[in-house]
Amino acid sequence: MMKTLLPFLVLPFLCGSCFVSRDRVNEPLPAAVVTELEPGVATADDVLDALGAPADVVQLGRRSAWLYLFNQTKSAAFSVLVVTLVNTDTRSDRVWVFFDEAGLLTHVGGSFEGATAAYTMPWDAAE
Amino acid sequence: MAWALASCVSVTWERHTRNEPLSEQALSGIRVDDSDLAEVLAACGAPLRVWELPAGEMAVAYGWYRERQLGAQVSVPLFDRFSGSVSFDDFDTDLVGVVMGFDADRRLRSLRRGFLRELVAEPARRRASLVDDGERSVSQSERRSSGSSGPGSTAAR
Repeated sequence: MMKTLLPFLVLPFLCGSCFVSRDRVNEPLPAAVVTELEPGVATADDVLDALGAPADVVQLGRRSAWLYLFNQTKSAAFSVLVVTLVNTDTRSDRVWVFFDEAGLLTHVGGSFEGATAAYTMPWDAAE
Repeated sequence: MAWALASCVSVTWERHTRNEPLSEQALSGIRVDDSDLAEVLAACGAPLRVWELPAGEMAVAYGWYRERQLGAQVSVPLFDRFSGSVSFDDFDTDLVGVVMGFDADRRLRSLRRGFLRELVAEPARRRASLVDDGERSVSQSERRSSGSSGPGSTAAR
């Protein structure tokens, strides 16, 4: 009797499921290109040529700032019987370029973390 | 029994992270009334948000979160068509960060830390972009309402 039931008792433990997924918004930003943009020299047209159309434009009086953005989310989940583990990690490449009234680049700020998003379990991500 | 247990009891452990927190080392070199926008960008990188404040001032926000959720749910069939359930959640989530205010000369005038939802007073609706038509600057909405269809460029161009 026990031998007959054993496979059915073990089956739920073998039926654990898992998935990983990756969600990306836009393309990774080229850090090397961004570092070549020189405040006081580059113009809005230069930035357009180098990076293309921005994801966002913010008006700052008669000045403006443009945002370039790449987002990457990596998710991993594991489920067995009554326990479900889920982890998501979202990182982004962001570049803000600031222009004066004449369209001359005044400031550039960049963060390039998009590639560091990772598939992990909840305990791995704990700090 | 395992099947029955799985159908009425569930335990979830979730963790969600977004962006790296600003390091204390990066923030330690920033001084209100002394540092400027270039120094802030060099130390902290690109902010999450930038927005306009009155009198030519502006603000930037850096934000991140570490969300942790441990939950359990129990569901017990009571009758043919009804079931009762009880759940418990330990929920710890919020976007935290730093908001910095700059004057018109892009000198840092304020630095506040905390939950961004409490710090950010960004206008719900942005004003229209300026369009330079040579003689005077008009907003895009004014231009549309006046029926003008000539080419224009943003103030940044």
